[in-house]
Amino acid sequence: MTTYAMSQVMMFDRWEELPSDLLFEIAKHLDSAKDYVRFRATCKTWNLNLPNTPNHIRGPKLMIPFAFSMGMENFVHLRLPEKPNKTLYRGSGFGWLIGIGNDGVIKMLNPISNTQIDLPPMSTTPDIVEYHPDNEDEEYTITKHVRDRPSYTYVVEKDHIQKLHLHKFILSSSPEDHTHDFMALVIYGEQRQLAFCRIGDSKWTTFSTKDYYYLQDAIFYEGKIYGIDIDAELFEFDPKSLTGSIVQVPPPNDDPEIRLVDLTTKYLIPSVEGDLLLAVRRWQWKKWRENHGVDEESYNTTKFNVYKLDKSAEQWEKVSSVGDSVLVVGFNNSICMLPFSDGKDNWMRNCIYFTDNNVEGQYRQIFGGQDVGVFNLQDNTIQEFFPGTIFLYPPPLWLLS
Amino acid sequence: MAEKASESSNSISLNTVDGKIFKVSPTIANQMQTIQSLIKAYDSSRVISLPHVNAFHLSKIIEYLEGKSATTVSAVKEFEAQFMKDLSLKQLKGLLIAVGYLKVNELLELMPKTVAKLIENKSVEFLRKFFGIVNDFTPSEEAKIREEIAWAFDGVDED
Repeated sequence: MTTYAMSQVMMFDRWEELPSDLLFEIAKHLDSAKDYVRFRATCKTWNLNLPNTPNHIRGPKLMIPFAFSMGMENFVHLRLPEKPNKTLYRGSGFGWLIGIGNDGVIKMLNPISNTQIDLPPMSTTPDIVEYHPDNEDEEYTITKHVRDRPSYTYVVEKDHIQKLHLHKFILSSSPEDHTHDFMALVIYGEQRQLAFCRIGDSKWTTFSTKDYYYLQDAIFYEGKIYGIDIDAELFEFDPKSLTGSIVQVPPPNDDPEIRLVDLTTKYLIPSVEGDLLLAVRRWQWKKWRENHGVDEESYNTTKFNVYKLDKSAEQWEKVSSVGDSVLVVGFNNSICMLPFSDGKDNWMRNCIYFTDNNVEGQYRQIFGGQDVGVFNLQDNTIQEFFPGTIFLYPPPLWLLS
Repeated sequence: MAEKASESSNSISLNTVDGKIFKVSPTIANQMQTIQSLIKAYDSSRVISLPHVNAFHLSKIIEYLEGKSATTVSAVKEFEAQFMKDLSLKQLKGLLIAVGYLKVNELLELMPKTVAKLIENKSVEFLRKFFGIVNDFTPSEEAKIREEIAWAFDGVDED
């Protein structure tokens, strides 16, 4: 045994043969993702021995669809996994991405460990009555709900369903963390209702509620699920009884345009201090070109307003700063985190990092997806990641760690 | 002075793979975790054989452990910088293996960090030349990697 080990050591003369633990000791000091991927591209052995994703680089990583220039050169970004079924990613949390294929398959993908977990497919989501993959352009039969009138069904193509039926997924925890009861939520349909599934479920199930709502975001918070709707009304859902109801907290009253669906997106975020925050994102539409005498418009984010829930007064209180925290929003679980103390990251305090989760805006594949940047609450400025770009597809999203 | 006397009486003998015996104080020996656990297992009079470490590497490790006990932070930093500067890349690799085997934690931090610093913002071609590594990817594998991580290939320093 000793002789074998000795000869191994004596023969070691090439950097390619550096033991993998020592190789990783070097790699973990490469603080920029670019340096890491180049190091890993040096030779086959290193390519095999070092993990695909620089997991030692902490904090959310921006997943972008392909190679092109970005406004922020050194910001940690990775290639979005592109799948044969043209996966669109509509959720992200705890190191996992949730993607929808154009074949209706819904998968959780961990790009670091390269593992996948199937969730019940599109055909099992509420409002989908029938799925016939062979009926070209009429693959899905779907129920249409009209308020105060009887609902009816119609047929629609799979492309439309892939892009518009499921708006955002939210995860309770990592599916591999067995100390928590895993639950995935999805905001679905024209009515933006909330459904859930657990590991092993064969279908998605709607939370039952008497109240009318139209959700823009949902989040797990203090053992419950909270949802914010288009009117900035707050809803509470119980992951045990699987019911939901409105919470008596009036919408913030300082912003008359808070209810405008094509001008605002709202996010619910548990703060580092344990409060519940509401971030209201405002965008503007502006002309980007003229096409045969018609102005074509695109959109970009102009500002965020942030509110904190005052639980005793049961109202939203506007906050002008989130202190040293960073908010991260988009298709991901909306999160609040503290930047790291080692100065290795590019994260700025008191800022909101956003990607574009405007599914209607992205639908036509002419513009959208590019609305990614940083909003600084200190001076109300925006730094765009893709200035001059009007279309990015599939849209980027944050991979959370 | 008394401490020095007691140290020499307790000194630990280490035998390297090329047959050189080093006598080190317990303070130095205990900073090498592998030796620390061997001392516990053996009686102190015994010579500890280190089949994976040669005399040059052990002398450098001892030099480091003695030198970094400087009193001020800036003196330690200066010593560490000089220590790393004195090593050729080839020596560094062999020493890194020895450090990994003996589990000298501070060097296990300092050395990889120094290597990482040297390859910051460098091209893949530079890395291959720097480490003396032959590119063993096939042209199609290389092309695939370049395509996948094209974003990481711009903006590097001149080789």
